[in-house]
Amino acid sequence: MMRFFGDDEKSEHAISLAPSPAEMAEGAVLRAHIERALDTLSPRERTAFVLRQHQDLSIREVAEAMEVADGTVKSLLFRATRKLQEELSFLREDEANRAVR
Amino acid sequence: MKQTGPSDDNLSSGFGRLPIEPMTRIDRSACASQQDLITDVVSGAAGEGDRLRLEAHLASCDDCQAAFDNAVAVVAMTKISRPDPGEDFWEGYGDRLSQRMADTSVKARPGPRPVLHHLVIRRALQVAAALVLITSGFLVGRSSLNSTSENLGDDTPRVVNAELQNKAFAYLDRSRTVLLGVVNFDASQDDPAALNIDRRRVIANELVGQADNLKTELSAADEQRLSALISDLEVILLQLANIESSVDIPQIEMVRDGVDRKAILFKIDVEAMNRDDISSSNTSRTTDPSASAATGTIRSAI
Repeated sequence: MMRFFGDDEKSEHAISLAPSPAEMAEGAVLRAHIERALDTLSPRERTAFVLRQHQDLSIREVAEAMEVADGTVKSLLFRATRKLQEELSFLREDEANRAVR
Repeated sequence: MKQTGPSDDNLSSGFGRLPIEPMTRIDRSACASQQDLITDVVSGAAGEGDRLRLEAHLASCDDCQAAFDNAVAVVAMTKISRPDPGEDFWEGYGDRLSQRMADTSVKARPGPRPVLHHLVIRRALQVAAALVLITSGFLVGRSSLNSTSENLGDDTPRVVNAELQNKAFAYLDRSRTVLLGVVNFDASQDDPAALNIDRRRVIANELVGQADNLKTELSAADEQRLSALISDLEVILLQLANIESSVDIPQIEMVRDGVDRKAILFKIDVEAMNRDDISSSNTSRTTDPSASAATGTIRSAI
């Protein structure tokens, strides 16, 4: 089973690098879900989100890059995160359910 | 700014003030207002004050803590779509690959081995397969055109920025082209022959050979960002150059992991936008590449 959360779980993969067929299939499905979720964002929302979260730019830097006010960046981030939560929370629930099983 | 905490207004509005002992029960209306704060904090929009305020609330509210954990997990999910083998693995990975490359000569195993079945994203990847075909053809043509112009000598200690940047951009272009097909490759659907892994491997090898000089020049010219990106690329390209055959699915997956993990293609796209900005405005770039690069992204996105 693939795990996506928590640093403590990384070590597993240092030992077994080659994913099993089931893991690869699961990974592909997950990627598709994530890509679809990111697709639901508007271009501005996606850009703000990626620059802030994935590229680690500060609010100020994102605002300068996008040539908008800090407040605009914040509301873009807010909306992006809300949408992603709506789209992806069920994956997190799946994960929790399997952990219980 | 959104609601940031349980204020007197929240407690007294709505259906009226509820008889709640603060330390033993949680006011639901206060929690409702925490939802926005959670999103703010998780999205990276919140400041230190908001974070502290949320922290204080989470300490006494399991429900909000769970909601917070969930939101954090979702954001993390967008970053890691595959498991990371861990820092121990990446440490010295390039060296190990170089060693393996030195040990084994280029060879391809004939015939596909059993491939995966049951992948849901078939339709999407049929498009990707077509892209791979196009990319491969493109690649062969490009590489023969570019190979001479991209031989980087170290006899030019300090290059004019624009010229060096062009060199770096050409390098990024080629890397992107080589990687794109691999990233889009789906073992269950695509003909491994279409991936043309031998050709990619040769080009990856060539690019790895150029990386050192290019990095040195970029560092000297204070192009730290480009230099770092090429550093990241170097490891990925080494992996690619080291794929032994087009049916070695785990190795192809490893290349994908690396590309994802470092957001390589995104960064290359950002640099490409940046370059387009430069060439369209005809001004030479001096400082703050991140801002202008990102601006390019925005302009194209809108």
